[in-house]
Amino acid sequence: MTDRNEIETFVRKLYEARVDGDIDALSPLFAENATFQIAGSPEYSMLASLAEGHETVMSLMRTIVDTFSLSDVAILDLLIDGNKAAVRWRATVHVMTTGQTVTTEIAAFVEIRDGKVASLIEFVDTALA
Amino acid sequence: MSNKRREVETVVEDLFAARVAGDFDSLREAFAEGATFQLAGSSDESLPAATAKGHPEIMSLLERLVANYVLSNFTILKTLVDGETAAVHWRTTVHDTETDRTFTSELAAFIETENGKVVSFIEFLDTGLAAKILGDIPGAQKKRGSQ
Repeated sequence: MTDRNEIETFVRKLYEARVDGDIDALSPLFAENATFQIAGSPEYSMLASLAEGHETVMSLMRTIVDTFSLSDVAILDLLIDGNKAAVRWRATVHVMTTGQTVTTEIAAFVEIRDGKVASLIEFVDTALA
Repeated sequence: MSNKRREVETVVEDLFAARVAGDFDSLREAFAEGATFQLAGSSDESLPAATAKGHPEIMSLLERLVANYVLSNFTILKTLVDGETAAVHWRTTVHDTETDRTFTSELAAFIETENGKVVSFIEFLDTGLAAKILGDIPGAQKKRGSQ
């Protein structure tokens, strides 16, 4: 999958599932050996993490979905370059563990191989948690 | 490789080279007059979240960033280019001159260019780490975080 429209459709589907917290829809989108990194220093933020392999990636996704609910989501930038995409999006995040609600921007780099996510790196506001 | 892509890559490379070197003449040259510069984050929660509009505000913010944070071991991990916009993921070692602490961090930026100049720069940094560092400095929010 390197066609620009296919990549864009795939990324929008990925983010729709991510925003809905739909684990069943997210699961088939990740490759068996996929990685999912939330960039940052683990000693200063519980959000910073690296998951390797499908099972671990989905476990991290479940934790995120159970901890944060998203609303008012808007994709602000979507860059496509070959089989890679970069996404800048804004969302209102409700932190279920603390009751806190904030609006924040998130950046993501997605690499797609054989129609699945091979690598996802997100830059979130790590000061939130 | 198209000329447009190469032009955008050159703007990005020159911009980061100037940032790492603390070269203000090149930084001033890199940004368009009406450019915007944003440190992304939730302004309520993240001390470093900031926005600068126009050349004077951007240069003032960059002067503070360059004075407070000396970069080394700078590596661009990936650059995506789509039209006149680039997304960059990089790693750097940062020396905080005020606390004399050194840390390694990964950052991202979305950079929009026009006619070979940066018109929008949005940086994503480890706000948890930055908040910890700034929080350790009395009055840091006023001095370094409230641009």
